[in-house]
Amino acid sequence: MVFNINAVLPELILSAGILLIFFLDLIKERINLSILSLVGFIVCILSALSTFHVRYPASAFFNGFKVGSAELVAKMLIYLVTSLVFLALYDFYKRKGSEYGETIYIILTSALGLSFMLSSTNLAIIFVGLELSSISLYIAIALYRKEYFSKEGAYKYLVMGAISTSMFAIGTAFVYLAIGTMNITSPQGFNPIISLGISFLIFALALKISSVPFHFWTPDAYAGAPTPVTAYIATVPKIGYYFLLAKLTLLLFPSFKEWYILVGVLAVITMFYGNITAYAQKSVKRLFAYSSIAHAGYFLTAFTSTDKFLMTSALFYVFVYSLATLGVFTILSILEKEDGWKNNFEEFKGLFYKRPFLAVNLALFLFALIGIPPMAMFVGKLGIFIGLVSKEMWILGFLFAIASLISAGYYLKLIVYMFLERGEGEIKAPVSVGEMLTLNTCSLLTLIFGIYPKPLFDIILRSI
Amino acid sequence: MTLEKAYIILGFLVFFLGLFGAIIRKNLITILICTEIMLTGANIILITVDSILKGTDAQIMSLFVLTVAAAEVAIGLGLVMAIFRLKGYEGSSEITHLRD
Repeated sequence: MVFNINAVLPELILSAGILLIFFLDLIKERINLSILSLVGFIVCILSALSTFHVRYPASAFFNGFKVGSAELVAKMLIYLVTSLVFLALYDFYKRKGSEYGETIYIILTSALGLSFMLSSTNLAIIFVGLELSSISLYIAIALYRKEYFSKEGAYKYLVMGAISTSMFAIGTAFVYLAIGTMNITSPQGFNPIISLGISFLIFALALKISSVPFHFWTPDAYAGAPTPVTAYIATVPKIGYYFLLAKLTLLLFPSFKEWYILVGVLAVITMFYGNITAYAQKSVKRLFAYSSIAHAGYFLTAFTSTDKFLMTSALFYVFVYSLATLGVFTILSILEKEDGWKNNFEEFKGLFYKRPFLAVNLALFLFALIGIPPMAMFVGKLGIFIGLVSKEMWILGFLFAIASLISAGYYLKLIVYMFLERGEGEIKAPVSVGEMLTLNTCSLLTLIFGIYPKPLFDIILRSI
Repeated sequence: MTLEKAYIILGFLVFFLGLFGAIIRKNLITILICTEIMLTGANIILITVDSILKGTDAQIMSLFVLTVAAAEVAIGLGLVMAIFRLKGYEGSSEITHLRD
């Protein structure tokens, strides 16, 4: 097999960018964090553009690396959201006096791991990509000068992540035993061992996407991490994991006949646990962590069937959800630049009268997360609901609607605090150019994909 | 075949030993070692599967697992160092500040 350089073009650009930033970081006396993050942004945009030049289907590295249309779409979405993260990142670190150049290339390494994970059908290579991205995340969470909570969150994430690693390895071993090859294909006939392997794989991925019996790391890691990194870990890895889950659901999971019961039960307990526990939170950052757990439940409902429409709705929903979440965490990181800001509900009182721009944007993202019609999340929710009903999974569809209804309460509580109550003092935290750009892009795209979702929806539907 | 079955059971025992240890032990470094034990259990299963199938793929995968385990424990030890230096904690009952 000839080495096919065209197939790995986005990854090559990303790797070259990582090395470039690494060397720029060495001469840091003259180069500051904003230039490094600008370089990171440009590298991400170049990689996203280079996905248009990849000829598919293609393979490289002795068929260990395969490129199809779904992989390219997933990679493009990952790089675009990562580039937005870089724009929103530098000012926060500067104000907090924690200017590590490592942050930039470690986040890029995580994106590289995700794209390697997506473009392989070999379980061993998927494992390595998954771990490259997770290990980079542990470091990115801990890189925050003199901040104890970030280390605590990273440690908890690391221990839980190691459990997921070993479960993935065991799952791989049993799938390999049943199929006879590491490549994910459906086996001939039924082999009971494969059900054990697939269960372990589902548990490992459920831990990564913070589904309920394995969700303990999520609030701690989200609350401990520096907020721009929270914006990254809440959005980009999710896109990668759900595209991987879609691939595994189409190719491998149906060989375990009862897989949909396992995923469905996980989805239902995740939705209800996340939504009900969110009401008890006093910190807004932890509230959004529980909201992301609840969303993991919504997305999982779509992976109970091999229906492509259902899966496309979920993937579309994941993308627009990550735009809205990125916007929310960008606003939280702007507010956190204020001295002594703890992200408590009390501090959000009267935000509309102090900082109308931030409050209106936050309200827009909150309405999007509830699923109010002009916003794109409504299309995703509607798609999942229609898909579930048309596959005659009435109970799951009904529970999904109930859970989304429950979730409206805690988002509206924050809106009431911001708009209807009056607070003391004022907030001086400045908004940098990059953060403004990220916010406006996120809110615009959330609206545009809500009003005109057809192009993106069609692209994902045709690719998977 | 019976010997391989015994080895798979051994792998599961080692895995659950590590999981159990990670849940009940208090010292931060001990918890890290327990995660390593879990990965070792996964490695035993991988290699046994290869000896059943007479293949090589899972042995290569077990090398990947070893590498990942080494990277993970390196970061974990760095984090334990940072936690100890910032607050002087070394037990898991002490790192419970991220709660409401």
